[in-house]
Amino acid sequence: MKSVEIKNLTYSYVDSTPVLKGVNLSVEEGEYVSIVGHNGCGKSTLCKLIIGLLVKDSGDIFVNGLELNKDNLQAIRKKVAIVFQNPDNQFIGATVEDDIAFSLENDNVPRDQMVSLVKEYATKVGMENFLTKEPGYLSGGQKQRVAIADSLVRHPDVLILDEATSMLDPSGKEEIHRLINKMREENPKLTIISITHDIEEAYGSDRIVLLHEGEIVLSCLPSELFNNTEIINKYNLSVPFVVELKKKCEELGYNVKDKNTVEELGEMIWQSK
Amino acid sequence: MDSLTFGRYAPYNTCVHRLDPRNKILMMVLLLVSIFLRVDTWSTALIFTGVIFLFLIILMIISKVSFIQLFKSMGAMWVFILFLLIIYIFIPNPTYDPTHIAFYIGTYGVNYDAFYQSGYIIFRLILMLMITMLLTSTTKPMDLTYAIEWYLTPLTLLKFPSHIVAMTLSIALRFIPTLLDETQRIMKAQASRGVDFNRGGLFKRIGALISLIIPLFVSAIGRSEELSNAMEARGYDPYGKRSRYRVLRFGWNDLLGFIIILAVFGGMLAAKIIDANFMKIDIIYLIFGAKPLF
Repeated sequence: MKSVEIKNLTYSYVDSTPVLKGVNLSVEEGEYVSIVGHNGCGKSTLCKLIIGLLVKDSGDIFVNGLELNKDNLQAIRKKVAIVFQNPDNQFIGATVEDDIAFSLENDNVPRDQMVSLVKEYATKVGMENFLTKEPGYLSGGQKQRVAIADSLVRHPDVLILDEATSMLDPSGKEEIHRLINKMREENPKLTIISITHDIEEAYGSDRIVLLHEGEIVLSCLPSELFNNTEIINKYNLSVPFVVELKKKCEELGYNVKDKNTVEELGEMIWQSK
Repeated sequence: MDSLTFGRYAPYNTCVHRLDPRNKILMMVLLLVSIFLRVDTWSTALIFTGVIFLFLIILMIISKVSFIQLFKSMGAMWVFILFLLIIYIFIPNPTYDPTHIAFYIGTYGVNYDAFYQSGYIIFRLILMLMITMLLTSTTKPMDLTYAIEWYLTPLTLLKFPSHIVAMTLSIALRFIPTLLDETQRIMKAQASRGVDFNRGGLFKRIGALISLIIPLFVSAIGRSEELSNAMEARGYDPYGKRSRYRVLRFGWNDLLGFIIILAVFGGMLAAKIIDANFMKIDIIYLIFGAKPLF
């Protein structure tokens, strides 16, 4: 089943050249898609259009078969959750529990349900001991974990991560990646659209979509993209560590055909003569 | 940033902290009114404000409010005290008893009553300071906004958006620490580019301040846009029906506290009425049989 379907979407800001020039994209239920591309290629604009924060110029957006328009806006926002880049600017409540409750208050959830849901989701993201803490006392990674809890507590079908890890330190990034993998295991139906500059993260997804100057130029498996030297050089992309390592090993004459992780390659290297 | 520490919330768990914030606001108003009920006889005034003073000291001890902070903020009042004294001394007041001259400045006689009047006002200002400190350092700012929202709810009948006002207030409170951090970061960034915030003439300092204010505003506006996006994406509709996570409870301890405050208020009111209507009772004179000072 198609989770998100975008047909011929165009958008331009008031006084500039078009940002999106006819984007077609369809994402299956439970798929984890990474959207990569250079700054200003229209990635963030695309997210904001999907969730209806911006109004498209032309084209259609469907979420679970529901068309995005004025009447369906609130219904679609219930299905699609988004986590933004800056951890500080999406923390609305005074404390962690208030912030998670904010989403529920908007959905008019009765209070006794709210109390148990806040606890449940704080535990899911590992923030159950920080319920009464204010954002000033949390690290960036913790704040983003709260933001993910805020999104998931509304039971969305689609989770959009708009560079959600780009302002975090490496350990914060690691925390979020682990959390996302856990969420997918718990709910295989959750569709994730991740906009990212982090090539390692993109490598771990089901599919990579390369956006360049408002157009989708490539949509394929991560391994396909990173083995395609021509595309990588043309769009000046960096390559994940494991791919580079594999390539170097191949040049040195190792057989690396079915070795896909750093650990496997490491095993191979220390066992070789 | 020292001025911002006045009456900052101190996270203890005392019986005053646990009171309903709505009740605390009401009690604060009652105490403030009872302080500013003016009693004309000086000794009655002294005794009744003294009783309230002791009462507040006890409350401060119970609720672990810092006395050091109180002294600090009183220290900030000295300019005001001086100003009051000058006004009371040099502006002639026909109600002063002309026989109570303390000393002469040139040919102008300074009246004892001037000291009494200004002292009375300053004492009451200090009491007011203590009361507001008691409120703000035992109540979370967020709880205060919930209480204010509750007091504004009758106005919703007149289409006044009390929920929106409370939401605005709580977001402003939420972002104060974030923006303070930002201010410090910008100050450091500008200082490293050669801006000096502490020295130079007036115009130089204003110039330095502008280099702080403009980036701060730009960033705050940027933040507000991202914040509104995040709120909208999470389904916030200011005119929609929302449930509430925070519930305020008026319990037995609230009732008890309210009765105590009401008794204090009643006492002050009685003193005021007796003092104004019957005779100028001088309590010291009544009790000790001593002659009033003036």
